[in-house]
Amino acid sequence: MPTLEVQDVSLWYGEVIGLSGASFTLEPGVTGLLGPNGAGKSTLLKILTAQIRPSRGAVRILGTDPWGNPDLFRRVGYCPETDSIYPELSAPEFIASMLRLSGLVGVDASRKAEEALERVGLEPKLRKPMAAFSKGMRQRAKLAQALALAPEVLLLDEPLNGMDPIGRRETMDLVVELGREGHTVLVSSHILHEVEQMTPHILLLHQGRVLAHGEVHEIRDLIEDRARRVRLRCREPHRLAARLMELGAVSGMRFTDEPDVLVVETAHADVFFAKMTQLGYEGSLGIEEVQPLDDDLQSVFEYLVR
Amino acid sequence: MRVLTPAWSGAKLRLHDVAAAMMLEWRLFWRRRRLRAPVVLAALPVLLAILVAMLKTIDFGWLDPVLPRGVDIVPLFFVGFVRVLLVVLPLLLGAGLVAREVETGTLSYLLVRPLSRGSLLLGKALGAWLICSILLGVSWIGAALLLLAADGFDSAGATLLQIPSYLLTLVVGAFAYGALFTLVGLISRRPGLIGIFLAFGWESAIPFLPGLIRNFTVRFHLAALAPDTGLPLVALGTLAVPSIPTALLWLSGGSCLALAASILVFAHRDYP
Repeated sequence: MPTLEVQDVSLWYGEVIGLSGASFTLEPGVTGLLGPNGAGKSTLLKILTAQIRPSRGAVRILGTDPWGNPDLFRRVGYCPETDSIYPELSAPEFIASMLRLSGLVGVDASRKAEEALERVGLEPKLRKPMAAFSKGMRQRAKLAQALALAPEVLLLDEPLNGMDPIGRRETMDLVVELGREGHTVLVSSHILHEVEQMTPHILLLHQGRVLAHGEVHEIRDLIEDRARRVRLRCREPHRLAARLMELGAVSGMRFTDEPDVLVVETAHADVFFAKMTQLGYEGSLGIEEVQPLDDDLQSVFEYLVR
Repeated sequence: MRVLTPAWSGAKLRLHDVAAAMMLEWRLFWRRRRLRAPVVLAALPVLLAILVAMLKTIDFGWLDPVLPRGVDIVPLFFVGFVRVLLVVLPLLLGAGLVAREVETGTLSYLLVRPLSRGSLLLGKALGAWLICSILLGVSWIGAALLLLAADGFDSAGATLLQIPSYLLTLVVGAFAYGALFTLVGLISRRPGLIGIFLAFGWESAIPFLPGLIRNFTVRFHLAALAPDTGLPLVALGTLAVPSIPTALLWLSGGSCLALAASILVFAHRDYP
């Protein structure tokens, strides 16, 4: 059973579309919520966290509609996108206060707050007010409040924003670890390579619509009407080019500045790779490397949104 | 957990949740730098009382007998409290209960907690009322005692006995105005403007109008709880104030209605 279900969810702000007919389900593991600014990522996360009611459609998290069911938020953690904190509070005070609102009392709240801070790499006993924090530290504190109750579902809105490279790396590792532990993590970002490092599973939003949902390479495979670029390294690129034309396996090709590299385009990837295997067995062309250039997230994203 | 009200969507109230929200409001108030304004406002009457007490220590010669005695100034101070501080402090604290969180972007953290929006708002409103009552109470007692002490508590017995009723008036008034301004803060984009109109227009003018409409002001009912609330017609004997039970009934009923309406508005509103 999916932990998170979104069925035909739309949201209009007057005549402006915030989200349009979004439908998908998520299961435990990490899913990257991708899209350019204004795609509807934050809107979707706010609908999932019952801060906004959808104009149409239904949302269920762990089988429950989040709107009007606050008890669900014992099992759901949320890290907002905005750089908003209580600047007067220290990080342990902030998280303990949030935990008290979640039903924990006294020592329990303080202990859980310290555990959460430790997990995101912040000093658990740090007493200075968060106003003195760097953006990266504030991001970690925000993340810690989302993690503190060890929720089954985690909704993280741009958690890597403003972090330094080490912070990004550590946070990405943490997200991956949470996914491995069996949490359902939906993490939004507009930085594609970062999402790619956290998960191959993506949900792509553009102009309020779900453009694609699934594994990056599966999505790429579905785009049959687009030529696929493959980089080939071999001892005799000109002979290889001639053979490929002869076999009718490519729709275009070009030589690069590197003397042993050929980049080809093919509309039928499966046929092309079968032929390449055959040529590889022949051995005379000295094929050393076959590298698809369009399997990365950036390419998929560009294909889908343009 | 004990459920206090029927389970309206988002408006369920739980004691623990209300208490937790109240404590959060309390803790944040004493930490927020920009909320020091209420503390400064509450300190003004005390500073004024210190100034009066100091003036009394100076020998002005023939002017000395003209200076009013402490027991005469205390009621005037109370009028000032009721007309200014009692409305301005709840306006500052009540109208911004949700607006402040929206403005700073921290409302998201509060809405994504396992407590109903009703508990959250009620807890914050009660926290603000507690803060308001403490500020008003400390300020009032401080100012009154300083004024009376300046005369060596000469003939102060009756005034001292009245201090609890003055205090009760301030606490009840803070609750009523707080509830009213919480609702104003939720339904209006310009709560400050509407609050000022209510506080210094409606509240000042309507008690002097005939008929039932005067029941829809706070100050008219406060006049039943303490004698010096700044309604001159009461002093002139041309305006009959309600009995204490009637006044308390109107004030508590009106405040509860305003809070219930606030909860319903908050519970059903989107916060994009």
